[in-house]
Amino acid sequence: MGCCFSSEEDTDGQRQASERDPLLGGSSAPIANGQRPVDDAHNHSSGPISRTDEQSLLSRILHQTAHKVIDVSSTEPHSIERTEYMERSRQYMSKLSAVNSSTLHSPTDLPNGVKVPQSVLASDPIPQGDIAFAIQAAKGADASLSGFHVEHRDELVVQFESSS
Amino acid sequence: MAEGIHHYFEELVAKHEGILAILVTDRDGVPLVKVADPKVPQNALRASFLSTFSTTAEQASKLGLSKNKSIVCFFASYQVVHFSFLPLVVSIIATSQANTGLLLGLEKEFEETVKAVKVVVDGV
Repeated sequence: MGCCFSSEEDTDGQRQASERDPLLGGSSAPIANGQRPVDDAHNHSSGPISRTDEQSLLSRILHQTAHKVIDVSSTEPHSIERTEYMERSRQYMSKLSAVNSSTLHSPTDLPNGVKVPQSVLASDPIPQGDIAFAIQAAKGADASLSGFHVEHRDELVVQFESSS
Repeated sequence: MAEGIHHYFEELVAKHEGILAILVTDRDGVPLVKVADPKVPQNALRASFLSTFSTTAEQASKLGLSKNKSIVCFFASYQVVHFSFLPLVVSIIATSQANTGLLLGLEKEFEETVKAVKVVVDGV
């Protein structure tokens, strides 16, 4: 729209050409809010091309807003036609045959996190003493936690006196 | 070769306890790969159910937490994990007892395969 404004000083033919440029070129520069009233005023004095300009500006703003807004109503599932479903399904089946077999990675035998089982299996077993210690520590922690209790001393809700 | 992909996902289902079905669909829920145990509820395999993820993920990506990658849904007896490989979506349907972390970790495993499928079906 900056181009649109600057074209006021140009001749008519040039102005029309420059007005079209940003639209066709798809200029993605954001439009400053302060510029809009000036543009509007200018557009009112121009012909139908300016109106198209304004329309495209408004539709662009609408599009940007729609893109940013979280629209709950659009989360409704849209069902596709049965014929389209079958047609697309058939197309996918034929396309899938083109997948290169070398790209298929065979699933690993063990789930993630157990990638090197031999090192885990070959390590020394945990000594009985350590296990007994862990059990004793756990029992101690359990006994300590069970002894926890809240001692009620003050009021939980404190009333503040009004200053007036 | 379509059988190869089918077999790959069949192996994944067989190897992991609790997984009932794995589906690779497009954003409208049309399946490209469908591996399902007879025990899986039929409603969970419907396109209208599977397509909700793509629309929901689209809206969830606007929360300011960058792009949504996956959504986990828990039900009384089942859990469903959706992975976004837009325009493709991978949905895993499992029992509620299945290890959710393991299901989420599966993404790394089938990522390359799904990407290969994505390249092939691009433009349909």
